[in-house]
Amino acid sequence: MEEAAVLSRGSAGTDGEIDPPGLDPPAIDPPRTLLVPFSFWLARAAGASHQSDPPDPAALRDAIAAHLVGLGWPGAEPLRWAITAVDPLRGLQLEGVGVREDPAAQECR
Amino acid sequence: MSEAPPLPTLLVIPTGVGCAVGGYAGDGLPAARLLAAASGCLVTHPNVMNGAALYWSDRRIHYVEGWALDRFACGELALAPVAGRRVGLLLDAGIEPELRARQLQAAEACRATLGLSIGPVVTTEVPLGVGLSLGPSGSSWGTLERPDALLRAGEKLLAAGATAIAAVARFPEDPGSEALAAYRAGSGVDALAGAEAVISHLLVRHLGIPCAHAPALAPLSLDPDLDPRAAAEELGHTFLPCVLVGLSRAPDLMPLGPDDVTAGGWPGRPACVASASSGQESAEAGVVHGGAGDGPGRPGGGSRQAGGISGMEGAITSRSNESWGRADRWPAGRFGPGQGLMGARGLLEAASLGAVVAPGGALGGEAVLACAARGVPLIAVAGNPCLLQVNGEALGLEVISASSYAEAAGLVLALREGLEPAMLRRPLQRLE
Repeated sequence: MEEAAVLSRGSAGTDGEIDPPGLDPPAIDPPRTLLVPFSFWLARAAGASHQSDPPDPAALRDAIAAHLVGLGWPGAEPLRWAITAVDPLRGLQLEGVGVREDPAAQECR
Repeated sequence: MSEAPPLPTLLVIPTGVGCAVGGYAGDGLPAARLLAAASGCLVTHPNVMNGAALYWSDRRIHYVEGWALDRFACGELALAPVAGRRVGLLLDAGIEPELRARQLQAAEACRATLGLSIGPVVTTEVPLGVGLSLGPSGSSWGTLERPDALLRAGEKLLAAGATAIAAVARFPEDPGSEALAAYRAGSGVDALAGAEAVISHLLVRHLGIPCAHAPALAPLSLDPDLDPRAAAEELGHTFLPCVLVGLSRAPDLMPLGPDDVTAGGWPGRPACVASASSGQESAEAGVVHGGAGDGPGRPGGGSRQAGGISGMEGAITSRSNESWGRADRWPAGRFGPGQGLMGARGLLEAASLGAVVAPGGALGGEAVLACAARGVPLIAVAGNPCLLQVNGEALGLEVISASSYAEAAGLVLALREGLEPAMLRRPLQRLE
C-alpha cells in the first residue's frame, strides 16, 4: 500500500491525489442500495398488444418493476436487463439485475 | 460532389452473451471502426471498444456506457461531445497492494504518454465484494455486496472535480475453471462481463457522468493456444488503459424531458452531496463552479460546463420550472462546433439515429427495442452468433439482415447515401 501511495502522490501533479482529505462522508453501514438479480418468464401479451407485436421496452420495464415488487422489493427498478429467450408458450424470458435504494436514504437526495 | 452528411448509427454488441464478434477483449473494435467510417458518427459502448491495453480513439465514435446508452436510445438522454474530460480513478479497497500499484502505474502511463487528465484517486471504504453468476440462459451476470461503497466513492470523485470515473474492482478468479479455459480458447462467455456492467450502470445512474469499469485480476499463466480475440487482455497487468482513453472524450449525458427516468435528478449529484461536509463544499467551489467559466474546446472545460454540477443544477431546477425550456438549459453552440450532425442545441439525440446494428440473435436489449419501436432501421448481423436466439422473427421485429459487419457497414453507407437497402438485393419485388 505504501508503494502505491508513493507512486500516486509523487506524480499525480495537478490532476489529483490519492484519497484526498476532507471529502470523507460518514460511515456507510448498513447498505442502503441493494441489488436484486431476477429471472422470470413474462406472458407475451404483457409486453405487446398482440402476440406478434414487438415488445414495448417501457412496458417491459414496468413488468420487471412489478415482478420485483412481487419478490418483496417495492421501489426497485431494473438496472440492467434483456430478453434472453422467447418461447411461444411461456412468452419472454427476462433476466437482469434490479436496484433498490433505501427510501430513508433518499430523503437526503 | 459533396459527401453525404453523417448518419448517426448505434452499434450494440451485448456483453456476457458469448458473441463471436465483440464477446472477448475488444474484438468488436474493427467492426466499430468500419461502421464509424461508413456512418460518419457511431454511438457505441465500452464492451465494443475496450481491449484492455489496446484501444482506438476516433472522434466519430461516441463512447457511451450501457445504462446511458439505453436511456439515450429511449430518448431520455442526449449526448454532448466534449473536447476532453478529467477522469477520476475509483479503486476497490479489495485490491491487493501490488495489483493496486499496477493500476496506478497504468493511469500514470496514460497521463505521461497520452496526455490524459486523470485524477484524483479514491479508494472505496470497504471492499466491494464482486460476485459472479450465470443466468438461466447462460448469460453472465453479477452483483456487489457493497454497492453503497462504490457510489460513495463515486460521489467523492465527483465532488473533487472528476467529470468521468474509471472504476477498478477486484474480481474473483479461478485460474483453473472450465469457463475461463473456454473463454481463452474462444468458445465461452466472458464471465466477468455481467458484473462489470452492473458496476458501471450503478455509477452512471447515480452520478450522471460517463463511467466505465476495468477488472483487477492477477496475471494468468501463459497459454500458447490463446484465442486471438482474447489476447488483448493478456498483454499487460491491467485492463485500465482502454477505459481511460474511452472516457477521456466520452460525451456528456444530458437529461431530456420531464418524464424520463432521471426526473428525480441524478441521485448522487444534488446539493445534499455538496453539503455533506465543509471540505466537500470547498472542493466544489474550487473545482466545479470554477470550471463554469471554461470555454468550449478546453480539455475538461467542455465537460465541466456542460455536465458539471453547475449545469446539472440548472437541469434539475428546470424540471420544477416548466417555463424554463431546454434551449435555455443547453444553448446552441455551447459545446463547440460539433460535427455538423447535432441539433440546434448542439446535442446528439436518439431522434437523429439513422440505423442501429446488433447481433442477429441478441435483439432483446432495451436500446435495440427502443430504436425499433421508433422505426430506426435495424440491421441484424447474422454473422455474429451468440448463445441467445432472440432474433427479429421471435420478437416480431422488422430487420435488415446482414451476414457480417462488412455487409452491415455497406448497408449503413447505403442508408447514409439515401439508397433503399432492398434495391441492392435480388430478386426485386414488383410494386403493387
